[in-house]
Amino acid sequence: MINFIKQSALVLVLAVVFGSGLALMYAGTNPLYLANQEKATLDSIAKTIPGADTAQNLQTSEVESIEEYRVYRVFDSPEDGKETLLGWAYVAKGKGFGGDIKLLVGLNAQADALVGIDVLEDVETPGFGNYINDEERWKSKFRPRDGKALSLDRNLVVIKTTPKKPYQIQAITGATISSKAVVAIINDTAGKVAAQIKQED
Amino acid sequence: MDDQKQLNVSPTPHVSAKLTTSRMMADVLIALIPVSVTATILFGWRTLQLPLICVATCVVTEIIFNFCRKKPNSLGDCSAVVTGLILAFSVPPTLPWFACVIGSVVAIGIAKMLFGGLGSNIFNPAMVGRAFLMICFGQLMTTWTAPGVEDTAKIYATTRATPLAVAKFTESDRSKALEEVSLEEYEISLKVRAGNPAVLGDLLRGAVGGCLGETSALAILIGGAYLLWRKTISYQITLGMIGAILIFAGVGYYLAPQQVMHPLGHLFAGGAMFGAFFVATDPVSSPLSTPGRWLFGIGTGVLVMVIRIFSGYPEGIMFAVLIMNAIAPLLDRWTEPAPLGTKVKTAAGS
Amino acid sequence: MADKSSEPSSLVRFINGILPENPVLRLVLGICPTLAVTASMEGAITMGLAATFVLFCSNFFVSLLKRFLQPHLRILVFTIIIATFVTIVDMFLKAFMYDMSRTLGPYIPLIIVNCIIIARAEACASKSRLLPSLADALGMGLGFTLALCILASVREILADGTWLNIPVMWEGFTTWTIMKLAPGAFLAFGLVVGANNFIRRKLEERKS
Repeated sequence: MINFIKQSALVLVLAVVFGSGLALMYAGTNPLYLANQEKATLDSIAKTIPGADTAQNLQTSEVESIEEYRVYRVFDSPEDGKETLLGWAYVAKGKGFGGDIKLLVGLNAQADALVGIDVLEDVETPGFGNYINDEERWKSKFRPRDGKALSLDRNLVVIKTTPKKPYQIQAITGATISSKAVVAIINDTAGKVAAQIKQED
Repeated sequence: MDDQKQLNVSPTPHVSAKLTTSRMMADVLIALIPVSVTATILFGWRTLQLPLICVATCVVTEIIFNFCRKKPNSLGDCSAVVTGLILAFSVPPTLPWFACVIGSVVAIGIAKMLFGGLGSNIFNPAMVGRAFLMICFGQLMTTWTAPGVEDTAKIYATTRATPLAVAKFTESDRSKALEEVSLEEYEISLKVRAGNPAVLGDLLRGAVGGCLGETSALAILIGGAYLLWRKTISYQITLGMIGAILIFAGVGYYLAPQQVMHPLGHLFAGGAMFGAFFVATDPVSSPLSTPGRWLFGIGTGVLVMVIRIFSGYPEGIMFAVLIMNAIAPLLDRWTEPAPLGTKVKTAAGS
Repeated sequence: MADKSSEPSSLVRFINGILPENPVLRLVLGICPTLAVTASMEGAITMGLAATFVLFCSNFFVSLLKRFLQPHLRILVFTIIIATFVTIVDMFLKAFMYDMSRTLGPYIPLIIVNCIIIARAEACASKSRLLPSLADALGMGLGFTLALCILASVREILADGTWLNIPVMWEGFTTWTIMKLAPGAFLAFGLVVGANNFIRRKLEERKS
């Protein structure tokens, strides 16, 4: 036993010293990491909900009662105290072409229409599927067109040609599967989440 | 390191014949004439630049590589010309010139010369070049135009999708399909699915969108028949591949007509015919033994159908041929003929 | 190795790591991160410097502790040291370079199993004095960074038409998507190693 401890003394000492060092480092950096994550989500929300980028004091609060999805209430509460509800954002996950896609989906204040999406995580093929991160090529298609947001009454449909109806979304060339995956995630979740939000209010 | 003097040992019988590499390649060039002519008629004179650019780049690449590696000039066997032509005929007619150049450099430079030149390449050079282009310029490689022929092809004039791509839709999801493609495209796809003779005739003549050399099945048949008659290509691979496609598609069409289109549609639409006669039969990257060739052809055909039906790609010739190229040496080993009077060593022992 | 006079000097060790014994181009070690993170220059530089930092720290501690190393426990000790500093790098990136840490994803934690680092601990630091070990770590680390940058330059310029996010190609340049993907990484790696060998051989021919 003594021999065993003698032999492994170096390992033990190193483990204790480095372990405590790492613990200190973790205590120092983890708050920053969490803040980064929070900021990334906030940035994403600001990009997704119209009016959020110009808000004087953008605030979000997580709707605790909806457990299935992380749903954020997005509102502007400027100094003068008059609070305006800008919309709702929730995190949805689903299967893409290369793996899971994590989306942030933005709904309007009435929770009856889609106002924008942002891709939080994806492993789609570069040059094809990962254009779902591209504002021009893809994300802009979910923004309100001619001032009218995409209604949730009808499921969205991916098409390959120029859309004629409001519920049609043009696929990214060469990445139909990724395009369809994103739309499927939205179709699967938006209605459910909207219903729950309405129940809350 | 003088591989010019290396002996090539092929299984018996060793028939003495004037079957040289350059004669074989010249035969392929002759056999490609009908394809070139129909391609020019169908897609117009400007498409002639594609084969010209590809062949020129292939030849120049081969000269440069031979010079760098201080090898004697190997242009005499014409194989670079054949590679360039096959590459040119398996790309869309609208492909820009720089993509042709890049594809040809990859085909000759990387897939052939870096492996040691003709005879040492594992993969079919033209298909490696095409695969590179497919992954590199996916959008350019999947933009199809309809052939510019009047009247007979009028209904295809607006068609951008190839019959195979449209064929992913079935009668049951008519409304869904019509949201993506035009009514004409949809109806053609239904006719192809059902094996409508008029539409199959159009496929034979080549009045459909597709790669430069693969649209007219008839022209390919003429050239292919010449190659078979000259014994330049081995009929085992061609027959194995066509047979496998027909049987696979036939069984699928019988069992699940909603998912699989008519076997003749599968054979004539897309690159199956061109692949069976001109691509899979490349003597360097296919097996030597007769049973190996049968297996090679059948395997390619089955893979083509698997990729067409189950994967996201509408066409699978290129990947099927490349995958089978990779296992061609194994096929040779498994089917090695036993010398008379001896027992074949177990595969594990060798 | 016992003969001290035959041991290469610190300067030789430093220079050796950069080109003559470049870990990626000559020793072909650490290929996983080389193929994975070289799609962009930014990623390559971050990865290279992170690995250099870990290499430097691990060589420092291994060289200090070499007298206490038990033969059968040495790999364990190496791993503790390397894992500690990799975790530190990972935490640092998450806290101060959040976007980069998301781009590099699992490849920062995977520095732990990078062959270069454990190879230098085993082959150099556990047998050499402190100064040569540190010089070796710096040389190898910079050599690794250099190789990553060469590969990333080729790939980023062809795949995006940019270098360090600055557009360098002409207007209308069609980007080579394949260079962003694994096949492009393998092709570019093979060609860069080949070019390096070719140049080396030419130089040697000229010398002799």
